[in-house]
Amino acid sequence: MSEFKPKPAANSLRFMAIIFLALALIVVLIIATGIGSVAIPPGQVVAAVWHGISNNLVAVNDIIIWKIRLPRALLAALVGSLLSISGLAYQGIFRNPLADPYLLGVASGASFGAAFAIAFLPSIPLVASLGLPIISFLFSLLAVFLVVIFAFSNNKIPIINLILAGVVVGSSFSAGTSFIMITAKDRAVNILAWLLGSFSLSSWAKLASVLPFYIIVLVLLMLSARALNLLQLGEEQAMQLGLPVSSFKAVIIVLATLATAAAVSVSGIIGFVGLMVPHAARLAFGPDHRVLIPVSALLGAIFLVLADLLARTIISPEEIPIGIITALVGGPFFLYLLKKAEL
Amino acid sequence: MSMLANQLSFSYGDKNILKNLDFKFSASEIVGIIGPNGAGKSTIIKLLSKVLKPSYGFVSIDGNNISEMSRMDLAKQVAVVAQSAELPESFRVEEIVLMGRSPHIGFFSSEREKDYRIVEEVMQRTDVFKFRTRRIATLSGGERQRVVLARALAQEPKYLLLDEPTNHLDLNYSIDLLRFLKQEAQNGLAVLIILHDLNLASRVCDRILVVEDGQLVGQGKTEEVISELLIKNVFRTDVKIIWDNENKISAIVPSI
Repeated sequence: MSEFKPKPAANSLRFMAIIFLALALIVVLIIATGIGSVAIPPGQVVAAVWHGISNNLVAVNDIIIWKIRLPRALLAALVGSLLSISGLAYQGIFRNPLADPYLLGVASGASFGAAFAIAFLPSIPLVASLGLPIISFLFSLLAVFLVVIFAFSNNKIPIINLILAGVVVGSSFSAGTSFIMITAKDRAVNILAWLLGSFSLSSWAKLASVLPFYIIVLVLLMLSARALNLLQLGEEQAMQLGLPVSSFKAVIIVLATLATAAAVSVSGIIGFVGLMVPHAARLAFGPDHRVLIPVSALLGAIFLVLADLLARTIISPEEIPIGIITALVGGPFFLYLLKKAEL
Repeated sequence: MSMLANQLSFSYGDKNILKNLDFKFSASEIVGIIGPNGAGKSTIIKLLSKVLKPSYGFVSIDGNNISEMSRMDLAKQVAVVAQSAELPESFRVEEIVLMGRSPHIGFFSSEREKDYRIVEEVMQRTDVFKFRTRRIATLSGGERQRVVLARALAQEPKYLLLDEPTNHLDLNYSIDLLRFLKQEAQNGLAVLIILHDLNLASRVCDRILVVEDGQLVGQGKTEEVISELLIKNVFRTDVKIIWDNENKISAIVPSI
C-alpha cells in the first residue's frame, strides 16, 4: 500500500500562502482606511468598524471611517478581486494569457453609457447615486449582446469571430463616447475622469450592487476550478475527458462578463488588473485553478486597495484616476514578462 | 461488450469525409485502422469519442447510442490517445494523469484515496512514475505520449482508441507500446488503433479495417484482409508479403 499523493507538502504550502494573503488583505484594509487627510490609528479603525456594525457611530473618526473610507476601501478590494477572477476566467476559457474581461465590449459599452448619462442627464443627481452605474451597466450589456450577435455564424460562435466582433463593437462605442465628449465640451472632463476610473464616490449602496455578482462568480469559479484545468488540455481532449465544453464556456463567459459589467459600472474602466493579477498568480503558484482562483481574488483585492490608496494620497488633496496608477504598474510588469519570456 | 458504428457518415459543409461505415470492435481484441492519408481515419475516432456528431448513422456501446449519453458517462468507458495530444507545459505529470480520473470523480467532488491509487498504478505500468513530479515542458515527445497513455488508462476505459500513437516514438518505445496494448487486450481491453506502419499493424492487430476515401474497403482478420492486391489498390504500390509458419504475416516488404 503506497503513500503516493501529489506532493502533499506543496499543497499545504499553497494553503499557507492563501491564508497569508487573506491576513495581508485585512491588514492592508485596516491600514489603508487609516490613512488620509485625517490620520487614524489602526485601533480606532477597528473600533470605528465595530461602532458602524452595531449602529453606534459616536466619534467623528467613526463617521470618516464608516461612511467614507471603509466603503471606498472595500469597494476597491471588491472590484480588484472581481476583475482579477474574471480575467482569470477569460484567460482560462480562451486559453490565451492576453485575454482580459474587456474583450467582449464591456468597457466600451460602459464608457458610452456613462458618457451619455454624464453629458445629457446631469439634472438628475445621478453621479453619486446608482443612476449612472445602472445606465452604464445596461449599455455594457448592449455592447456584449451586439458582439455575440455579430459573432454568431452557422449556429456556432467561433473565437475569432468573437474577437473581431469585439473590435468592431468596441471601436464603434469608443467613437460614440469621443463624439459625446466633443459635443458636450463642458462635461468632457467629468466624462474623462469617469473613464479613467475612480473610487472617490464609493458608497455602501454601490458595494451592495456589485456584491451579488461577485459572490456568484466566485462560487461558480471555485466549483469550476478542476474543469478549467481540464480545459487547458484543449477542447478536444477536455471533451474526451467528459467536460461539456460548449455549455461550460458559455456559462463562465456570460457570468464573468456580467460581473465585469457590474464592476465597471461603479468604478469606471480600470485596466491591467484583470490581465496582470492572474499572470502574477500563475508565475508564483503554477497553473492549477484551484489555487489560482483564491490567490487571484486576494491578490487583486490587495493590489487595488493599495493602488487606490496611492491614487488619493500622492497629490492630495487632488486624486489621480486609478486607471492611471494601474497602467503605470502594468507597463513595467509586461516589460518584465517580455524579458522573462526571452530567457 | 462492443462498440459499434452503424452507417457512420460525416460531412463538413459539402465535403463528404466518411460514408456509411459499418464496423464494430469488442473486448479483448485489437482492431487496426489503416489507409492512406486524408482517408478520414482520425475523423472516425472523433466520432467515436463524441467530439464530432455524425451527419448520418450512429455509434453505440452495448446497444446504447452514444448521442444519448452524457460526455461524462462516455468518458468512463472510452478513452482516447491522440497523435498530437498537446499538453499544457506547466502542469506536472501526476496532475495530468490525475485528470484522467475526472469522469469518475465528477467536477464538483474531490479526488479520493482510490483515485490516487489508480493514478499511481497506471503511472507505474506506463513507466512514467519516475518523473511524476516533472513539468510537461521538460519531457520528450515519447515521454509525453506515455503520459497521455497513462491518463487514458486512468479513465479505466473498456474501449481505448489510439490515433497513430507511434508517430513520434522511437522504435523501442513503439514496440513497447504495442506489446503493452497486446497485454491490455488480453486482460479484456477493447483496442481500436490507427496505424501508419503496415508492418506494425499486421503484427499487432487481430482484425483490420481498411479506409480509403472515407469508405470501408476491407474488413476482417488481418491475414485475410492484408494482401498484396489490396495494398496495390489502396496504397498504389507493390509489396511482397512474407508469411511465417503459423500463417501470420511476418513482414510486408516494399520493392525499393
